[in-house]
Amino acid sequence: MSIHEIRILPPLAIARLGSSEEPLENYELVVEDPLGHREIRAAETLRVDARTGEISEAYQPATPIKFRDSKRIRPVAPFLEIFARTDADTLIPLTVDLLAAEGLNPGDVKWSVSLGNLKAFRRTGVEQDKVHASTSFSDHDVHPIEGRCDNFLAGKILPLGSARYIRPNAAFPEIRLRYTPAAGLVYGASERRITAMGVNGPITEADDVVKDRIIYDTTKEHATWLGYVDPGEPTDTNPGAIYAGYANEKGAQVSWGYLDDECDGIVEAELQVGFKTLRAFARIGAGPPAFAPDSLPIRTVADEIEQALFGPEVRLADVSAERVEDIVRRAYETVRLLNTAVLNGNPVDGRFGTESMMSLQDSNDFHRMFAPIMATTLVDNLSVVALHQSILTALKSGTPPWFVDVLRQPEEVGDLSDKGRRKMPAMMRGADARYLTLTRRQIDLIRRSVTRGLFPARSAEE
Amino acid sequence: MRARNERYLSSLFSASPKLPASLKIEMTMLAAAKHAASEAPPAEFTWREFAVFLLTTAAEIEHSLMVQYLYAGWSLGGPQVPEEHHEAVAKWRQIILGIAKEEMGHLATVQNVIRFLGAPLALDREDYPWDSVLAPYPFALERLTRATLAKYIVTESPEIWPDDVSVADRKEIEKLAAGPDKQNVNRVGALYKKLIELIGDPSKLATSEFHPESYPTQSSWDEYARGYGKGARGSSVGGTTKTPDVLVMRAASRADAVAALTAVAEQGEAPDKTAAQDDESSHFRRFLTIFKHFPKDGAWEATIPVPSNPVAPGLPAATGQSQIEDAQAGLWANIFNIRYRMLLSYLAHTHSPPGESGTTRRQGVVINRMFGEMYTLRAVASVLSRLPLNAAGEQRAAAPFQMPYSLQLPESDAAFWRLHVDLLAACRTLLEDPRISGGDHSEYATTLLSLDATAAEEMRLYAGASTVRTGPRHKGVA
Repeated sequence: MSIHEIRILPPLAIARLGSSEEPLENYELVVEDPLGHREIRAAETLRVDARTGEISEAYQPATPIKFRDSKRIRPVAPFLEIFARTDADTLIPLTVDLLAAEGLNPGDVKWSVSLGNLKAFRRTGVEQDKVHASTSFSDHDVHPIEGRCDNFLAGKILPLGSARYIRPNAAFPEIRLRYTPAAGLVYGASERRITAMGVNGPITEADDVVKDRIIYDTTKEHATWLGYVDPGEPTDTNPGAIYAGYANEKGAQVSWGYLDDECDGIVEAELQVGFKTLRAFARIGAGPPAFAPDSLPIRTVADEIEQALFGPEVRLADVSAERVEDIVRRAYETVRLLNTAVLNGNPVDGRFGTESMMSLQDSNDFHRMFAPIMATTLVDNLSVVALHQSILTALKSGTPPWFVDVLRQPEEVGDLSDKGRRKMPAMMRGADARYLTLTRRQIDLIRRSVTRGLFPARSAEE
Repeated sequence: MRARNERYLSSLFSASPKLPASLKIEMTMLAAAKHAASEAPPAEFTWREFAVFLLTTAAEIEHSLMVQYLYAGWSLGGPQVPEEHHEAVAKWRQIILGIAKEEMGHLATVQNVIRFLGAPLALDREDYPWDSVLAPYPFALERLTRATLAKYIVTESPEIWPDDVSVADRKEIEKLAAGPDKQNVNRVGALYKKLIELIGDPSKLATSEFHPESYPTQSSWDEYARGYGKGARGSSVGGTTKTPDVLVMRAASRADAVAALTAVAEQGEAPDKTAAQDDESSHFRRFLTIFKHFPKDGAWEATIPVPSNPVAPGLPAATGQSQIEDAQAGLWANIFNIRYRMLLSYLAHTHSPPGESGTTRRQGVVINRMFGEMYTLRAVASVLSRLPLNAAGEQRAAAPFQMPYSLQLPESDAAFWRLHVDLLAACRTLLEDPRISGGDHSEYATTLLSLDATAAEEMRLYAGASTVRTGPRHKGVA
């Protein structure tokens, strides 16, 4: 059995920032009560011995799963495992034995991690604002991933977490790397920040958010991130002005020069087998923690990838009532997390448009007359949640879905008429963009499940 | 229509309802028009009362049509439909259920005009089958066939049929609609025409007869149409881009009331030549399109084998009704009837006058509950269609849509909530029956019980909050 090819699985891993020393343990989301919250059920977890870098055990975590230690959030630190293709159809974990069969040992695996944070560069367009980090290793030490940037102060870096090649042992001979993301801290460019423009000039205060974490050198020739203002050009982000700062006398958002420790990039593995150099890569990223871990969004990266892989149409054989129910459940879970009355644009204690919300953005961006999205009477949250529960319940009867017509089509995200704004999915939390639509593939799944439900025999035959 | 109402109808119309189809409609409507044009209202009526009477009749007809269309639409499908016809049958189903939604809008609009006249809601109707001189034809819950389609077409037909319908086609449709008994099929539009004339005439109905203060409790498009409407919402079904178009219109003035009734009348018929050519604009045209493609006898079967006028266990089935005999199906039929009553109770509740302490704020809560019940009815109907009607097993059970013993409405907000809680409790007893909890659809029953338990808990708070300001609340579960 020889190694023809290597791959890293999963090919995409999303870490979640956290400052606890203990990574989050593994869990699965299980639907026990069809109308309740998903149960967070502990799942087998690998414990890494910090001293040796080996996996000391695979254990079943205690319940309930702990998401934080005191105030420190437990980071999600994914494992990336190398798999070997040994013939046309066999993909198996790469192990010490498999390496030995090729006359190799774990030290022959070379890992490279390249990460970046281009948030400041995305706005300023200044090359010197790019933050990059890269490291390569074959040992089993913890390798900090240090973001470097031309516009940083001398000796300063942006910590982007660490990577460790797990030392294989007899019990866990697989070849894997663990990426541990950064703590979730904010770094800055100045000890003080401007909060507003006063009559006699800027009003400032000590900036405790970035205290002791000043890394950006505002004195450098091309350092424009502190004080940056979106120029109002097509290259602006959409929506614009989405960086921390203050509003100047013209109402424009002025950057405080903040940098966070989120990042994304590539993990590569390289292995010399005979005369061939085998390489594989995976993508990793680090984002914010999940603060509603028992709920899933209605449209996720997984939905996007599935559409990219398999196209916008679903094969009838892949249509199932469970998949439709899952979409509706995710809609229900999203609604459960919304303050529907406020986000709808209902007046709150006599005030209109108090929060960043879609109904307000329709006015800000397009000068649409400000109006709530749904009838103001209909958006009491308990009642909207109950309505979504009614849909979930009805689907349990086996009746085919009937709501295809009220789904927003991808071409309709900019339809700001009353009926356009009232299609589903209706609102997003704190969204200041246009309306959300399911992926074409999700819509097609629901559409096809109607046919499947109406003509059951044909479905049964397939 | 209540049987006692026929007394008034017989005095209104010079023609007998038993006359042949060719004569009845023209004569009855002419007679009615004569009354409407005269200076004095019909005996025992004021003009206002007469308008309310006609609106009540219109409400009953819209209600009956809506339920019939739901029943017919739900009958489409089943494993026997050949695969090459799946798309067409799915489309027909969507079209007919879309028309049912529009009839729901008509019913809501008529109720609004009734409220505008200061009259009580008209949610009652007879159980199926039933007939009346003002009904377009004897109402019946039937699966979709060419004959039922023909009745729907004639009911919703314009005065002048469009040119592209050949004389032979029209004759065939009218013959099928009349059936073997050659019964008359009235046009719904004629009733609206009379209503519009009456409400639009200040010499018969003074402005002081109207109640614009009812406007806040009238149903609104914003609350009811859920994004369906204005002719442009589109549909997932290929080839239907303009429907359904749910009209829910409110009235704060005479002009509003006339406009609302005119719009309702026009949505059924193709009001002009252009609309008559458009396959999507009118109910008439949409039914006609299905009729043209519907399989002729024996070619293939587009519907599930559901009976006509199914009834839940209770009194023996009357003439023309089909008793649901299967034990499990019978219980689900009882559940269906309770949920149907709940839906009507929620609908009535939404029209109740705004009360103290936040009753108005709960309007949306009630409306959302009402829509939730629509989903439940659809689900229970789906369950019924998968259960046998009786031991023979050839026919399936279906939604009975039987009216409750009474639609006398509670007088206070709290009493409404108590009624809702009572109905949930009655339903719980059925859902917990071992034949349901151990039956084919136990997972659905369990989920529905869970949904209802939460609803009952919430409603008890509302019932208590309307009458009791302090003190412990009863903590039981419905």
